[in-house]
Amino acid sequence: MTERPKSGMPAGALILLILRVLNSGSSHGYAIAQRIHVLSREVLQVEEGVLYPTLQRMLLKGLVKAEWGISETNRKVRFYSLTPAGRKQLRAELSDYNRVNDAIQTVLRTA
Amino acid sequence: MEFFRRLQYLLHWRQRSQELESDMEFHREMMAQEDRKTFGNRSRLREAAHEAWGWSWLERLAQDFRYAVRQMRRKFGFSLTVIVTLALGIGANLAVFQLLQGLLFTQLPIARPAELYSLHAVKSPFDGQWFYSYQAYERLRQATASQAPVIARSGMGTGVLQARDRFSKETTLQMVSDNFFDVLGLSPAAGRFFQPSDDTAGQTETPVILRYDFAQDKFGDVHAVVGMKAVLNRVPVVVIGVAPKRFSGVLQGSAPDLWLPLIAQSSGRFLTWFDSLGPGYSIDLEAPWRNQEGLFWLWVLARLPDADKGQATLRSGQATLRWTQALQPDLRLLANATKDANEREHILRTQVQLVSAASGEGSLGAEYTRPLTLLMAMSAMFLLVGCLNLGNLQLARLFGRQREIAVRLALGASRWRILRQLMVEDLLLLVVGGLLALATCRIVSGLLLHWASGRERLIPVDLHFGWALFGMGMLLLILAQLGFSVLPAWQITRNHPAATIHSSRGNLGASGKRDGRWSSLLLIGQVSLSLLLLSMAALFSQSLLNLGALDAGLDRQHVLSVHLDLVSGGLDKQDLTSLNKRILDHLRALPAVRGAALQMCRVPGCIWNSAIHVSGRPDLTEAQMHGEENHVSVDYFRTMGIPLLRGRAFSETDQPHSQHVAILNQAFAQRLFGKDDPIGHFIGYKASPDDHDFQIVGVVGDAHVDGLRLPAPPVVYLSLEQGGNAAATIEVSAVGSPANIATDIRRSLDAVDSDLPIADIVPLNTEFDDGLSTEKLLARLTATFAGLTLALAAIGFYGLLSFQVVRRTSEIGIRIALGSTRGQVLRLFLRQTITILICGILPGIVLTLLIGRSARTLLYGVRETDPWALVAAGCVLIAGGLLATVLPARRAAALDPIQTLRAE
Repeated sequence: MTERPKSGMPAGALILLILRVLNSGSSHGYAIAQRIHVLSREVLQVEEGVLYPTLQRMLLKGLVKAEWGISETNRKVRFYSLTPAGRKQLRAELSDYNRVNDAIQTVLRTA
Repeated sequence: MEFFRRLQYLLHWRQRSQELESDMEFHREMMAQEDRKTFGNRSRLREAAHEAWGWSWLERLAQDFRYAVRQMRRKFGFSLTVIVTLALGIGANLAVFQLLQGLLFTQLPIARPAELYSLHAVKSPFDGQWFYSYQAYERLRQATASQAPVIARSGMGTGVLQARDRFSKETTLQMVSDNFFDVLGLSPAAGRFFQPSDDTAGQTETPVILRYDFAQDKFGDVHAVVGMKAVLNRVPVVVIGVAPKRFSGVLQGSAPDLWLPLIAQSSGRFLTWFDSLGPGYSIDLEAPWRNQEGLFWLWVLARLPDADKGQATLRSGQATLRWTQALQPDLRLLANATKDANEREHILRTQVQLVSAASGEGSLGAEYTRPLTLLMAMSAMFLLVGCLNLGNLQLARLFGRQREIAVRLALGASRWRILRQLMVEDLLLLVVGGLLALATCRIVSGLLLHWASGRERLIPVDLHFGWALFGMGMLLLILAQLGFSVLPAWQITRNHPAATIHSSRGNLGASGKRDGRWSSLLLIGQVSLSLLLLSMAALFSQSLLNLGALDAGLDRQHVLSVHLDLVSGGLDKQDLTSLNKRILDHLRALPAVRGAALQMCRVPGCIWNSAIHVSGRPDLTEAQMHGEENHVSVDYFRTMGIPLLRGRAFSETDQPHSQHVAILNQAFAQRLFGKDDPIGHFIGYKASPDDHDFQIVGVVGDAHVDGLRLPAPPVVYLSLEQGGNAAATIEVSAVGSPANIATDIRRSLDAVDSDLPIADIVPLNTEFDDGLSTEKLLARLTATFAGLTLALAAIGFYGLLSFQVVRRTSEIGIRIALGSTRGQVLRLFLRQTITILICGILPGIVLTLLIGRSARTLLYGVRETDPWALVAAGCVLIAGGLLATVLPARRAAALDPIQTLRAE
């Protein structure tokens, strides 16, 4: 678990993480990867080969939208932010995740 | 929703790609800034992201497509051959199919066509048509008034229509019963159809119904035309309706421009085909026909409701019984007019027969079945040859790319991916060829129709683009794709890549030889079919030449026919006689005119059949007595170039009050009198004692007056002065070419009477040629197919040989280095070509004999066993094959051995 779970991370989980990160404000692709990396205490690493296809899929599903903006390094870059549909999806996935997580925890504790 | 977003990505592909690119570029920049290494292939990463859009299959297809376009441009000659072959091959097939479908398999565009039947009882005495008199029709109609409605139609007539200050000559018309359109279940495109009150005498204007296309072509708007008043053959008419768009009558191959009610016949201005008991039965053609039981001029059809369902047999049985009963008076009438006792019995016992009229009446379909089936077979063979040729070229082309394909296979491309790539390349050619084939089809079917029709009118065929045609086109395209693309590609990707890469072009080993055999087999097939098409073309051309050179028994090179429409002109007999005289006097005064004469018939194609009784010869049978009757003026035989064999021709002394005279042609004289001299004998229309109306004064030669293909019929010529109908044709014999004097004649006739209803002025030969349209169609089309096939076979040989020269370069180099002469190298290739030619020609001969047998009735004066056609076809084929071989073979012979071996 501590080694390199980058590709082992299920796609569904990555969507949840991206939704969660964007919920606290819009950000560009690299920042999304960075924040997940930092917030997970450098356990989770999101590679661009996974990140961008996932973002494309989310764009297609209408969960996020992209707008041009200026990065902290003064470069023109696209900022992703949540759409109302994305916010709804986040709530649904979170409650889903919590329910499943609780269930798993219960099993782990009692079995 | 998601799908539309996806579509957006497809539509804004470039912009979306740039956005993604920018995202990923920025990502990499940031990583670099923080001094972190990135892994992975950039385009692979991009592709992975693109895949999320869900269009990768399309992307790959586009890739194949771009590659295909590149290949197409590189192999321009090959692509052109494929496209042209497909366009011509499939186009020609579709065109013939369309014509076949339109002529043979189309049902009438009416409600429930399967319920429509023709009623056949007894054939009319002279013309052998399924005619009825008006009274017989009335009886039939009343017999089954409620269960099976009965309709009637006349033959086709012509008329001059004056409407809105415009003259339409040669308008075709047909008279129909008042319930005609209603029983067919049609609804008018404009106005209304006939009703019973339209078929009554004493109307100031005769109601007419127009054909849709005619109304549209002549008057523009079909709605505005309703209520229009016009004059037809000097009879005032009013347009009451327009028939629905696709409806052109119930007679195959003819489309009346307008329909009149049956009562219109009583005006005497509309002459249509008729038959009668004969001149002896007080038939009066000028009196209304509807009152004469002995005048037969209507065809009768009936609708049997639910004819296709279970009760049908019972019901049609009942109806037939009633019709037969209703016809008893007519059967008795016909029987009494028949001489032969057996025949009389037969007529009295006749039952009404039902013949399906679902696809219309008439024999046009039957007439064209054989030639069109043959043409269909020819065009199919042409396409087959084309596909064989393409398959061969394709094999050669793929061998050229074998190494490339092997490398791609070795690098991990799946066989399916390669196959797909190859097929996409061909698909592009196929689509282009297919689209062009549609265009070709349109042109060719129009051309075919022109060739098949006479000079004056196109055969009305419904040539619409239907599902059947579309399906046929797709089927042919798929078969073509299979033949020339899938199978060769399958064949080529079967080889193991390693074997291919290792082998250089010099030593291909066993697999190369095997594939060479494939090519030779394909070429042999091509040669066989080419021989078939070439010899068929030779046979049909020879038939046409034979017919062209046929001695028709009259001078068809110098005679010009002027067709008049004096029947509808409304002149009485005396006026006509003086008019005729003035016409002839005027014409004979012209400098380039050698002779001028009038006749009642139209040559070719006189349909005035009659029977002649010979005084003192009650032993003659009906078959002997039947012949054609023509009334002609003085100087007719000299003008037409028909030789006088015995006695005298008609002269000025033959006047209405003098002894009526007759002249027989040789065929008739022989049939009636055998070897005896007929001159001086008396003949008449009726049996004794009324059998000496005419005295025979002469015998003339036989002429093919029914058309070139038909034998010269027995004809009795009577004097126009002494009887007969109004003259239909003026024949003028010219000193030089008849076409030159056409304008002089018209001017001269205008001087006689500017209102003279001249329908047409046309050289006699042109009219005879018109009767050969089927022969011309066959000759032209088979010649075209044969020419194209020959070209394809030549391309095939050239392609195969060029390919072999490349593959065997080093072998040839070694041969030459070892002392082989250039002649020997040349012979090496020529020997192969000759073997293929012989192997192909032999089965080709068998094929020709088989197919020629079924086409025998279409040939004239030549048979399929005729050796010269086969020899000619074989020679042309051999010459073409050798020529196509020599060019690449000479290139091989000219090889420099040092260069060749160094290249290894």
